[in-house]
Amino acid sequence: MWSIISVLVENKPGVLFKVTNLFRSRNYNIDSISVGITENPEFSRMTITTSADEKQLNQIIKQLDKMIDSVEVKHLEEKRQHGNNEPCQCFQMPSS
Amino acid sequence: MSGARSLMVALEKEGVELVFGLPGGANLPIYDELYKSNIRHILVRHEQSAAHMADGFGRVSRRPGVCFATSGPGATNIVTGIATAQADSAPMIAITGQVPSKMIGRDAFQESDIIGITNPIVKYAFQPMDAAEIPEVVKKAFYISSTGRPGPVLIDIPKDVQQNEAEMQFPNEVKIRGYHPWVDPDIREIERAIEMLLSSERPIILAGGGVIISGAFAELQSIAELLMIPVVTTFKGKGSFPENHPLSLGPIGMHGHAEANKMMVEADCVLAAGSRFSDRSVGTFEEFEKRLKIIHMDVDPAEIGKNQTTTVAVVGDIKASLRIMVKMLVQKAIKRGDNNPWLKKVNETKEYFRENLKLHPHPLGAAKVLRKLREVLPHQSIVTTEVGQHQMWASLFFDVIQPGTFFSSTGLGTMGWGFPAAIGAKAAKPSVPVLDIAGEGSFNMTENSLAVSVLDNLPVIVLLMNNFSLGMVAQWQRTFYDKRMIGIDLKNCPDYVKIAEAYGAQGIRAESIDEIGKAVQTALKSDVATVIDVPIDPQEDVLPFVAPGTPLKDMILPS
Ligand SMILES: Cc1ncc(C[n+]2csc(CCOP(=O)(O)OP(=O)(O)O)c2C)c(N)n1
Ligand SMILES: [Mg+2]
Repeated sequence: MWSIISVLVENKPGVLFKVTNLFRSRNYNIDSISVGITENPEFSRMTITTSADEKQLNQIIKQLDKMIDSVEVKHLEEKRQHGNNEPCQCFQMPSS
Repeated sequence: MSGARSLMVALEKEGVELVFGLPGGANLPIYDELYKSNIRHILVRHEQSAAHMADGFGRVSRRPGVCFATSGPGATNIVTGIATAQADSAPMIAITGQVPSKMIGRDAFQESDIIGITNPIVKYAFQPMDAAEIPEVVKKAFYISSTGRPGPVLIDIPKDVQQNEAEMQFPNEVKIRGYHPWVDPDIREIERAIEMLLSSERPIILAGGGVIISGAFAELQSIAELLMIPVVTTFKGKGSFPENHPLSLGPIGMHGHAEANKMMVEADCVLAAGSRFSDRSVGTFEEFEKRLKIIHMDVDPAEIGKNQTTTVAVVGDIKASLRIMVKMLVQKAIKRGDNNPWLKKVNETKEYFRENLKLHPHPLGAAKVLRKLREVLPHQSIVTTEVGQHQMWASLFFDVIQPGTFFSSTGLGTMGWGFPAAIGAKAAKPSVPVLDIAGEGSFNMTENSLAVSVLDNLPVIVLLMNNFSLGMVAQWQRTFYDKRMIGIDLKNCPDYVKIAEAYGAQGIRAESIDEIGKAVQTALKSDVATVIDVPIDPQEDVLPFVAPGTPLKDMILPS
């Protein structure tokens, strides 16, 4: 199952590291990630696709939410078939 | 004002009266300001111990303890202490010096990326790059460390930032937009929890470390007594409920009490308060949740559903949630009697194991030693432990009567934690006796804190259950590796009575139960640290035992 998670984070050094480290230390996998500054330069938006089951996904979202540097976490979409290689087409790359 | 000066002012504003640490090149500006301030410095002999002292101070006082270390090796030496505090949700502020900001990234002398190294084991980390940020950083650090689920916060300050002058503003309050530690418990969920407890036939309360952290002892006891529900605890929650109470069954888990594991397995509904359902407590996750309806109360929303599927979840401070529950019970005039088959079974089981559980026959068997200790040690004393067999024996045979007086490295299982943590505890509460139930292997790791205990007038007692070996490892080799014993023999070296004396502390060898009682009484009257060396039987195992990866019902009993 593909899931797309959107995380609004503080735009400061080290936050991407913390997010990816969270995935690593809890043994979750990132399939793709993109980061860009938002219209408000205080924030960046990260868009992460991950293949995780429901329980894992739930944990990922809660752990991201718990991160002090994340301001908002949204679960955007699920795609159930594997092999669909375009999990990211539903959002636009934020311009930086 | 310089960055270093503003750090001291900010710490004083947070009510910090003492810090544990050891200086070096990169934090000398901080130490120079410490020299001029009213804050007491406790000089350690290894930074790891500074972190454990701050941790012990924090757990007992429920305010962050503070430790200082220099950059590079000083900073890496506190890593174990930070990880230990994080694993047990202990409030702590670690302040490290860093190489000057212009040198960062150039592999400078004593540069280490301590922010990167500690990322997965801190609640948060700051690296102010401008002196003017320091007051706000300190305010935020204390706020984050002590609220919600407490934890360690690191402040890494480059040397030039310590030295630079700036216009300082000290905020009285801070807000962090991504951090919301106060969640009001959902009343409807608490109502559902009560209904579930009332409609179940075999309810049980599982009290975890969260009860101790939030100090919810009275609330927990009221609920247990109003509903007449037996109470088991996790190891971290040991002593959240008086262990001499008729409803107390003691800790569950790998080395839980037989009656606690047995009743946990037979329960049909559990009220888990401030527990994260660690593998050490529940055995196997799947087996645990199979027959159980779980009511989970926790301050950390990420704990809900992490290890166990729950039926009812109450997110919020444990004390607040339990208080609401007590209120509801009182309002609805709910009070249950003790005349039901479940409680009868609980009492019978408890009685059965208390009478029939075989204890080690050696004259200095662990149960005899620790029951003697309980007899002579005042109830308000604070007890810490090291890690190993002695720790699990403490869990089994040392009853905590006054809630919130027992502390151990339960999450990370850090050998060497108990002694410096005891010193930190003594600093937080000098009026009560503090005793570390220790194994000699663990004590050996941080015994140089004897210097601190003696020189800084923080006398604690170490009861050394000396089996001349890394006993817990030896037990696993006896049990799972066909007695192929390797790397466990400590060969009666060093002599701990002489070690104590070498530091100016008191060393006593106690070779009988009677001598142990007398030695503890001598130690209680002494104004220096006392090490009581008790030669126990290296062959004694910790039993009951639930082998790792097996369910609680498969508990191995002594034969
Ligand atoms: C820092 C650290 N290293 C290794 C271990 C693994 N370990 C767990 S218990 C134990 C033996 C502890 O020996 P001792 O303190 O003498 O206690 P005993 O089991 O003999 O009572 C060891 C090596 C650990 N928990 N912590
Ligand atoms: Mg030992």
